[in-house]
Amino acid sequence: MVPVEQVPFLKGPTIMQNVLPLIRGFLAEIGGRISPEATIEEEHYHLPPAEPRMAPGKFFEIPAKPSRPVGLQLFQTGRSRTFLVGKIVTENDVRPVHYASVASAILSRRDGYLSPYTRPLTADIILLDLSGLDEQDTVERYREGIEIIDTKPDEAGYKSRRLAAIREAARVQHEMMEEGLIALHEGREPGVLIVVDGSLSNIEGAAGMPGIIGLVRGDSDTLGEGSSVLECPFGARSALDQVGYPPAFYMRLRDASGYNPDFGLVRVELGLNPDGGPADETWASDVACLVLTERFPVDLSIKGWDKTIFSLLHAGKYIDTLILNPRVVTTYFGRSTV
Amino acid sequence: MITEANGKYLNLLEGVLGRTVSTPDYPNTTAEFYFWISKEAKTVELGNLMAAVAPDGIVTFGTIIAMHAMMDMENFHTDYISHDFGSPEVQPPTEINEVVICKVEIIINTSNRVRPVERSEVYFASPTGIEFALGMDQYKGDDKGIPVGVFENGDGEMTPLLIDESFLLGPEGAHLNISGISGLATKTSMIEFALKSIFEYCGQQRGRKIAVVVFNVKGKDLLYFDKPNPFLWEDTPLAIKSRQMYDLIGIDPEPFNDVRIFAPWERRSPARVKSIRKDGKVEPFVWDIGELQDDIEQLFDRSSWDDSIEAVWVDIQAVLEKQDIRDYDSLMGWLAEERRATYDPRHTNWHGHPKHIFYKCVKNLSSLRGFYDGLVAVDGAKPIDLPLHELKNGSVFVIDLQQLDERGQRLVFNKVLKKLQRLLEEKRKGSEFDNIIAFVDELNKFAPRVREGGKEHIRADLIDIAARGRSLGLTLFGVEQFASEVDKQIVDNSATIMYGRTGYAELKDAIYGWLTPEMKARLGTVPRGTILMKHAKFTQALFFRFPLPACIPGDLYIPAEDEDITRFAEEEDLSAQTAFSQSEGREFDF
Repeated sequence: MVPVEQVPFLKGPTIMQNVLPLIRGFLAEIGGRISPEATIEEEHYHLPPAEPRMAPGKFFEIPAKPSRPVGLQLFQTGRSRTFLVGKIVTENDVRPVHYASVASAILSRRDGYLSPYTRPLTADIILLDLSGLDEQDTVERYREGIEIIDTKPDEAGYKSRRLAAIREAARVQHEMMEEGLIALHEGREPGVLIVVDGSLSNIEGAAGMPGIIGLVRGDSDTLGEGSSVLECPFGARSALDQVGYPPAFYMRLRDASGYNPDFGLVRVELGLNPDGGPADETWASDVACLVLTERFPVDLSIKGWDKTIFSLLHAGKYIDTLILNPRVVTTYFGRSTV
Repeated sequence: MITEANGKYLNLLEGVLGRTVSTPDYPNTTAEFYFWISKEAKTVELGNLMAAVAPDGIVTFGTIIAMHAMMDMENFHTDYISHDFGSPEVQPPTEINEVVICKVEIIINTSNRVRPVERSEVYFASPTGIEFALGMDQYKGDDKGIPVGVFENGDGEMTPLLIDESFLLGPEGAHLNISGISGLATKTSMIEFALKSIFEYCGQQRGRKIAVVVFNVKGKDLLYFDKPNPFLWEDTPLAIKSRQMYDLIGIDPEPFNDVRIFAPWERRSPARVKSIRKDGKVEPFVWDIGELQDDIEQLFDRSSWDDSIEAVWVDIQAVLEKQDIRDYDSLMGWLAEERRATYDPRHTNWHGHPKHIFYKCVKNLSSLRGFYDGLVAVDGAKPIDLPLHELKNGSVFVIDLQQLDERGQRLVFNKVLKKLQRLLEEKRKGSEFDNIIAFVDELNKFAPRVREGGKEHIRADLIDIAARGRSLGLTLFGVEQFASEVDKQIVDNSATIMYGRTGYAELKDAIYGWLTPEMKARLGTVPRGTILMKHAKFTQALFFRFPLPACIPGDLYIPAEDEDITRFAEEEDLSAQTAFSQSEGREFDF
């Protein structure tokens, strides 16, 4: 045994600040009152994950092996959970106050096992429409302890303000993902591919990076009215749509026989190819081949498991451990009085 | 939080191995806690002694009593589907997350409060931590520890395992019981090592006066306490490890010095003893009828020696005393005369007893010659008593009974124990002993749990020793294959109970109910030299290791040809043997 003083201590663990009392104090000082929802706002109001894209009717068989020695190694996902925690009532206005917990993480896979690639990013945010609010001094004072974002809704209505809150939370999430990708881009070895959970178009500059792939769930939001892609058989992909940006194709991850028509359907968006050149059909086939091998294993306990891949699901699970459990937030505000 | 004060209890070089965790289904309580281990913590295993450090610096110690590996999977179907609907050759690109959870039974913590373990970092306990957790630091400081082996934690650190002398040799508690299947050289090896340790630590270092009496009831396991163990000096991993243990514990791996071996007298052998060992080291003992008369009923079963025969025997004893008859030949000669006198039909009884009862008693007594040849002095042989009064500090007396039947073994065992008790009672009058250790193999023969006729009184005596011996200084080291077959009071009165490898059928007995299924499974497969121990001062049972014994296990000893003195004496004793063989099995002709 060596003396205690000679032992190198581990770096201290990340301490998750409990911001909830801070939010409660802020709400009290700006003349608000607690009026929490039992569920998160993203369950009430829907933000489409991406715009619909064209899907040329021709399908290509996905090759058994990619044309070059490449593999998916990095997996990025993000989360934003927005909670309606209070309101500020004035003579003719009700202004919602939200708390959002936002995070993004990149996992690396080595020998089949996932581990964090870089330190995950997390943020706690207060979201409200600050326009015309008298308590600007209080806001500035609290900004020293927590990020407060002016949601700047398009309209001054109650619903618009709630929608604006989740839109802002999502924006922060995408900024975090962008920050993660930039850091990654600087240190990543050539040829290492990264799969992003969601559309590349949501993340500033992502589509211009080499070796990046966006995986978007194929549902009514992302398919639009086009129905031809619903005919895509398992093991095939649609032609690469290079009209829209970034280039994208649809493919089916699972055999849909006996299921709904969009079962296992995903849209794969491509940045530049690993060499830095524009994506083409060859690269699309390589990526489709790689993504198809990711259909296993499955995690049946997660909603929408058919339209994503296991590693992204687990990146999400990892993030869930980093941000406050929704039950903690709703319970805290549900029991508090100002 | 790790500080100077609590850091000494942790193996910080190995680093943090995992963190405590609790769920609604598996909460951490004041008695147990759970923790997960990192993938790198490959040496953590069942039975390890761990230390959980809470943020406030309090360290909680406990042993791992169960380990479970769990995948992040709700059911088997999920994995089946994940392999392309049941294709085992499919290798998914990502492995399912799997976590190993350890269940720890709490021993003690560094605070005085009884509280469940909260979120803590988990380390291997260091040797200092192990001493604290087991309370060994308390009596180690008082110079009362007796090493019985080493506790080897998952980090490979070996800590001498000390048991409290006051709870092994008295007066607070006493006795040692070991059970386990035969053939692994574990039980007797453990006892031999414990005796070496007692002589070294209690005798040599602390000046306590101790002697040992060993009863060898089967084979030749215990007949070579004076012979070194060559296997200890080989280059096998077990031998190397054993030598490390001797070094660590500070015991000289030499056989016992002052060993005397005794066996019943053998009329027909030049070695003069009924023993497998024939190198002239074994001394004979044989008793005359006067020595045996108080215990003679033990040599017969209840159907052969009932109350009516006992009544005849009481009257015979009265005559023996009156006429000062002490040897078997004279007794049988006198009984032959008495019997002839009762041939007259006018005599219907003998001393008021029906003639046929008297005849049956005489017949029983005449059978002693054949059945207990070697124990009873016949044909003019002079009695030789066991010289227990010659026991001295550091002596090891081995009494080899393996060639006697069970009744004969019990009789000798019982007589010797009583004599040892008397010797120790004289201690108060200035005898030179603090302790005598009686070591008996096959304890179930002498104190079975299921009551059997003929064994009751010896069982009662053993229970008495188990209960009172600690204050008297008589310590019982009992060994058996199945603890479930030994009287519960005897086992329960042992302050130290050890279990070697134990069969699964035996482990189903209620006495093992305190073990978790995992611990039972481990006990069913522990390797040679590993033992599970309960000790009165330890709040939990522990697996530990002990070295190869310093003296050779008898079943491994191959005597050199020139050691067999009977070979050389054969020719010159041929005539004597012939004379013996002519009288072999002869009963008195009535």
